[in-house]
Amino acid sequence: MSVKLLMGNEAIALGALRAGVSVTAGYPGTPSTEILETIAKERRDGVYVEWSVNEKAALELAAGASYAGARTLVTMKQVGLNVASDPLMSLAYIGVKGGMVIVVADDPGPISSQTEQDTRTFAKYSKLPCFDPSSPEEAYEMIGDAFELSEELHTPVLFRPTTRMCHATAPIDVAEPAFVGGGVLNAPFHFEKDPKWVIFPRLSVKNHALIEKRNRALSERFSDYNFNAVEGRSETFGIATGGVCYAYVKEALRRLDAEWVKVLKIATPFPFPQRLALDFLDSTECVFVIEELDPVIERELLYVAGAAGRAINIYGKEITENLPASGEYTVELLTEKLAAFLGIAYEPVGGGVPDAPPLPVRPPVLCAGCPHRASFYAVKKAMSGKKAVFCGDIGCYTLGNAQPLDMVDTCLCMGAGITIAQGLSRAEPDRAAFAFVGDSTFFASGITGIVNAVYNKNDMVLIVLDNRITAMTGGQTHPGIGKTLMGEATAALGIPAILRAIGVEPRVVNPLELDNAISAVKAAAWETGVRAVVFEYPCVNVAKPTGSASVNAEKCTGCGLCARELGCPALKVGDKAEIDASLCTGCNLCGQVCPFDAIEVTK
Amino acid sequence: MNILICGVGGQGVVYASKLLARQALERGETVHTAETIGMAQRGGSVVSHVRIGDNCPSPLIPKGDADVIIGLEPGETVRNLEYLKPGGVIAVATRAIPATAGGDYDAGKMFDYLKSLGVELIVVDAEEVFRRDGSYRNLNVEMVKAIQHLI
Ligand code: SF4
Ligand code: SF4
Repeated sequence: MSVKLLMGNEAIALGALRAGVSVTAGYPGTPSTEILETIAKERRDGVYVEWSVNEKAALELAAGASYAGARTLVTMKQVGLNVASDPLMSLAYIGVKGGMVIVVADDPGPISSQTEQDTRTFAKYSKLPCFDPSSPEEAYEMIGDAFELSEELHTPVLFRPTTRMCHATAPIDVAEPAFVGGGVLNAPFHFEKDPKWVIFPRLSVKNHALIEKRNRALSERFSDYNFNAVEGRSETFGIATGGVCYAYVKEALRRLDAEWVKVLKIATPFPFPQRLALDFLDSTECVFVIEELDPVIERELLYVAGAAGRAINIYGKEITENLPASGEYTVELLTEKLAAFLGIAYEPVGGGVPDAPPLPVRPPVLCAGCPHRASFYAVKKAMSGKKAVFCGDIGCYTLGNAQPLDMVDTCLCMGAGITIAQGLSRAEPDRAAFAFVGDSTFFASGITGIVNAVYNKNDMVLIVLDNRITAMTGGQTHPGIGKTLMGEATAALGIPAILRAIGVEPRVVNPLELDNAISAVKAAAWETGVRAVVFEYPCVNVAKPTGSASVNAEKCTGCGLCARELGCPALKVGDKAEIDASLCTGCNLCGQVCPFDAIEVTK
Repeated sequence: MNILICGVGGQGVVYASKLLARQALERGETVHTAETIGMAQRGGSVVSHVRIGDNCPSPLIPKGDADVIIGLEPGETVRNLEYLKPGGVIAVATRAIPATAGGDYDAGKMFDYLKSLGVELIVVDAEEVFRRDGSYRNLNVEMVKAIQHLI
């Protein structure tokens, strides 16, 4: 045994390795990304790990390996599950052989996501068992249970941490031996041919019935699962909770000196442990349900109570509206609500910082020297005064919406900008429709949209922002880079070559050469059909700075144009322009914008 | 004991929390940490929560519960004041980092405000670190050193 400080995501990865996982795959997405990165770092020979092209590919690859008997792990963020839902819904009917755990990290808040969707609800919809750990310590243990259950019942299992747990660090006894079996090299797997692997309506009818029966049995079994529990001893009051809210509730009760209150903790929101819940309700007069996002536990308790004909007061977010229906919860909020529920006097803390001087505003911005700034600026200049609409996409470059660039008019989901642009130009043909897409998103789900445009003769200008990395999530590889997550060299797929194969001849430009960049966009905008400009320049977190810019105070008139046009965080203008040398990369974009040649770059 | 560390991206807030956590672990204490980084890549506000001791179930320190606030930047220190416990201590670095939204803010006013609160204030001179190292990179370590007597 040795105690290690592990982040929730690391705990999940080490727990999976300990459970003997052999094949692991996923697509980066905050807050799930570090799970696979940890596998890549800590794995031993025979454990396979990959960044798949998207979540659907990851899940299907893992399904194949599970068919052959390997234990597999798939990781993604909650919106990734939407991409993977096609294989997931069918795989729920087909099942697996080797244990398969799909980790889907939810993001209450949302802190860095498009939606606040709740994977516990998805579990119920897809009829798949779901584990909901409340701490990194618990996640480390629970993921092993998830693998056991999956393998025993031949079904994929969902595992749903949330942001605060993924990014919390806890001391964990990393058990020895750290690994139990596992690894492709250590266990020769074999796929047995059998009609059961081929989905047909007749098979689905049979399997659907079996799944419903299994889930009823599982509800019964989960009532005895050790991480589902009733704690405390009160008669009147009860609290039902799960996930990280369990930790918040414990802390709030401690603050209120009310640790005696009975708490029902739900670690398996689906199938819901009905017998355990009924026992809990039986010995309670009023229940307060505390959970972030969907009222999953609340509805289940109402259902259980109703079906059993129990008259009991159940408070929560849906019917009684005692808690916000959306957003992240905090200990502070819950302490206040619990005090009211329990009738304990409590003076709320917080309430802002009164009389403080105005605080600096720090919204997320594109980094100093970010090549996306140059690309956006070039398109903006090329299209100034013309009728145009700019569809953005998911990545750092969504930040192109901020002032002063203001170049993102729409953003929906991965790859959507490309197809939304086509719809816009169908509805409003006299307005040029642009779509910006990053390199990783291009591979993940951009290509089909371009094929659609070519096939249907839709009109659009595609702008690929190729910065040679998946930047938003912290710098992961993708198919264009020539390196796998295992560290091996591989083919680097060229985006221009792919476009050519689809029938689009792209203009390939360095966005930091501003004049060339503007002319390329102007030329593309002038043509009709599907046009493309590929801006190639590496992310500042990949490429070394090329130098550093400085202001020639004699030439600078202090006009402020550079800062006003570009919004580079290294640049500000008082009496004269000033450049923060610790941030500046020497990209020389401002030098090309300055009308007085006042900015000089030294290499 | 609850220690809240705040600053802006690139200042090494997370590293400082790792340092404190490792120290606690070496003393044989239980320690939990959590980071709130959000969408900020660089230049955004970053907060790290370090909770030393048993019975700290929540990964985040509740407001009004921090024994110590380590502020690598004066504006961020004021932003997170709500977390300070009555009687808590603030360690703050002198160097202000301008806002990304353009323009400086008045760091002098921040210090006047902090002083007006009547709480124990440990001021760490960032310029001294710069004179010694030629960079501000080790400011985070310096801040951790400055509160050692409180742990
Ligand atoms: S050269 Fe100008 S635009 Fe580029 S990083 Fe430096 S200050 Fe910013
Ligand atoms: S991380 Fe890279 S892509 Fe993202 S804003 Fe910074 S330079 Fe641009």
